[in-house]
Amino acid sequence: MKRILTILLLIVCSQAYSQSPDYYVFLVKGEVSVSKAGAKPIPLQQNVFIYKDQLITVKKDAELTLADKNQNFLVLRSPAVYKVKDLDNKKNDPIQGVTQTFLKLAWNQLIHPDHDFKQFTNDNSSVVYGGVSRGDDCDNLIFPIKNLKTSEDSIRFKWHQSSPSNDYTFIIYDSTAKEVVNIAVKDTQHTVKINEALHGNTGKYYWVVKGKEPGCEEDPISFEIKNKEGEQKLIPALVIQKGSNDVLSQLQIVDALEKDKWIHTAMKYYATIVQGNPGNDPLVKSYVLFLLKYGFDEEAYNSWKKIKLN
Amino acid sequence: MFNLQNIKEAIVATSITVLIAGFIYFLDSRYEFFSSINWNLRGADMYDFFYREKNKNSLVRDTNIVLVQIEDSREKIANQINIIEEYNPAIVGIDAVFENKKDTRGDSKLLQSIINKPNLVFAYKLGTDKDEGILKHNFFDTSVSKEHAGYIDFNRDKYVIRTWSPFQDADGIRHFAFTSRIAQLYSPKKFNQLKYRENGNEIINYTGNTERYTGILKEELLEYHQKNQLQKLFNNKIILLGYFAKYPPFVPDDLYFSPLNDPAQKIRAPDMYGIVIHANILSMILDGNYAKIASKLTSFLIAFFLIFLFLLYMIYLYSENGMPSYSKILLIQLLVILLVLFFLLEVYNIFLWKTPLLPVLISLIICIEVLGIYKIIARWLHKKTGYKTAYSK
Repeated sequence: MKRILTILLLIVCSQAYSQSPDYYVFLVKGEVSVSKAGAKPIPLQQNVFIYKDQLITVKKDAELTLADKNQNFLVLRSPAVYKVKDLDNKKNDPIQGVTQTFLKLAWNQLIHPDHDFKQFTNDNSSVVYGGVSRGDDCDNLIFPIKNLKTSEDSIRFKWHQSSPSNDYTFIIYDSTAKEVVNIAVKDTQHTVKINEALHGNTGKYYWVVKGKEPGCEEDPISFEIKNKEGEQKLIPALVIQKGSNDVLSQLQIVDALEKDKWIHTAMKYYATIVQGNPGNDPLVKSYVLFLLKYGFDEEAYNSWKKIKLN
Repeated sequence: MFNLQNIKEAIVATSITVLIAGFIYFLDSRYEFFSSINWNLRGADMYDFFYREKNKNSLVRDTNIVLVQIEDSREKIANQINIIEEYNPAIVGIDAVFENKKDTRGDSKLLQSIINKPNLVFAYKLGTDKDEGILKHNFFDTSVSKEHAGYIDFNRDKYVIRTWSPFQDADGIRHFAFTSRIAQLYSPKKFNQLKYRENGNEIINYTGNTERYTGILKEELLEYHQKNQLQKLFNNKIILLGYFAKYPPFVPDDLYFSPLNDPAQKIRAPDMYGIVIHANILSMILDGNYAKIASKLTSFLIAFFLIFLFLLYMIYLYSENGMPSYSKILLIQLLVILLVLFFLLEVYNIFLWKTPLLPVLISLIICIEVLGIYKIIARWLHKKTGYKTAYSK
């Protein structure tokens, strides 16, 4: 009798344990939902329990912090659908900055120095892809990124193909939502001469591309035209602040410029660092990554070829 | 092996070795060349491996401390303080110095937000750092909350932050570190434990980087506040308000090198924000999990003991079978160095007892050369004065 009771107790305990939740929701940022397979998703809230048979959907710019029974914390922040049963294998997935990328490449250089360009982009582009700010809905606009600051005379606008016939209307609005450019383009890039198109006026503008065929609606994203004097003061000020004696300090200047969305300035400064350090392959590779990140594929390929020629 | 003659000679050779090691060790502070050797050795402190490996892949957080990213303007910081205070935190530590008055509106909002808030702890710079040079106080220190403030300067062991001073005396005043002041207000018992240790410098027993704590960015604070998610998170907890980034790219402001820095990187970049270092110090104080450091004398005694055993063995090998091959000696020396390092690392792992490595390492590296010199001198003395030595053969 005692044995039967003991076995029964063990069965009940194991059943109860298997039905206990796997995680609880510690914090929810943005739009995150939970669902069972085939069921309607429910928005996730703090302190809700999560079970192994559920699916979690994390939308763009959202972040979910979960805690398990042992108070281990897990952060999900890449937009995706996660199976709860697979979460144990997940780790935090930080996006790499320029300095981190360079350091990683410097290390990788020792392991496999003879990557070809295609392999290199396959290995690395997906890592940096999510780091670019894009429009909220279709994610088609590549460059200029949201809130870009520039004093360039011409800007090359780039976007992903979203129209099967490759027919687009390219529009730039000023800060009062008035159209200042509206032209038809049969390509996924278009160069705008700022002086002609925007009459040399500084300030905030918005750009958007609409495909000929109906599809997802892209929200216009902003960029800012600044004056050249302001831009010229940036690097000297950062050099004083961070120093420029070594590659690391110089890369930190690129980091700072990139963070502040001075992408063209960062790119030009990056190019001078590369020129000043001939033979530094990891540096060129990190520069290539930087260019790829902002859609400058041709420049990236040319820089890559230089490594191979050397 | 343990015959009297061997022991006597091992003691003489060991004494010479440790004396020379001590000479090199103490020269470092006086001469640039030696200093650079020491700098390189210290820059790569072996005990850093302990911290790098200890919490690798750990997902456990210290939920008593929450980090909040500070806003850019004083008005917005005032708003942040007001939001945080709504949830009755135990302490709010502000890791920023409001040195001069700025715009009247922002300053006045800030003053309004901090007045009559006894749980606020402010920061100031003592200026002991060579780069900083001067004391930097908040502009409101004298009028509002002088007693609830502490200095945020770190001890830079060259460039890696490994230790910190809980208290410092300057101009006849005892200053409290920012973390010591927070501990004093949060847990007087734990603070007394720190105080009675009476250590000018404490090793920071790191438990992790940003991922070890719940970090809330400035935009997230507003969102979580709107969604009412902060009650459980902030209530009765220590909130540290300061600059940090959860994910790369890391802005190099207030970013330091910590022992957790990844050694796989050929060029090391600073890896830990000041606020995270403060959080680590607080975790250590509240857990009472202090590391101890052995005195230099203890380190030299350990070096003496180890070198004595090693040289005794080498003399024994010589007396039994003649001079061992140089490669064999080097191999034994390398194994001994690795074993000693492993042993000392394990001692730190188990007892949190750190031995200054330099005396031991210098002694181990030079002992074979010193033994060679001793052999020559001993033979010469044997010829001239009949000095008894195993090397007379």
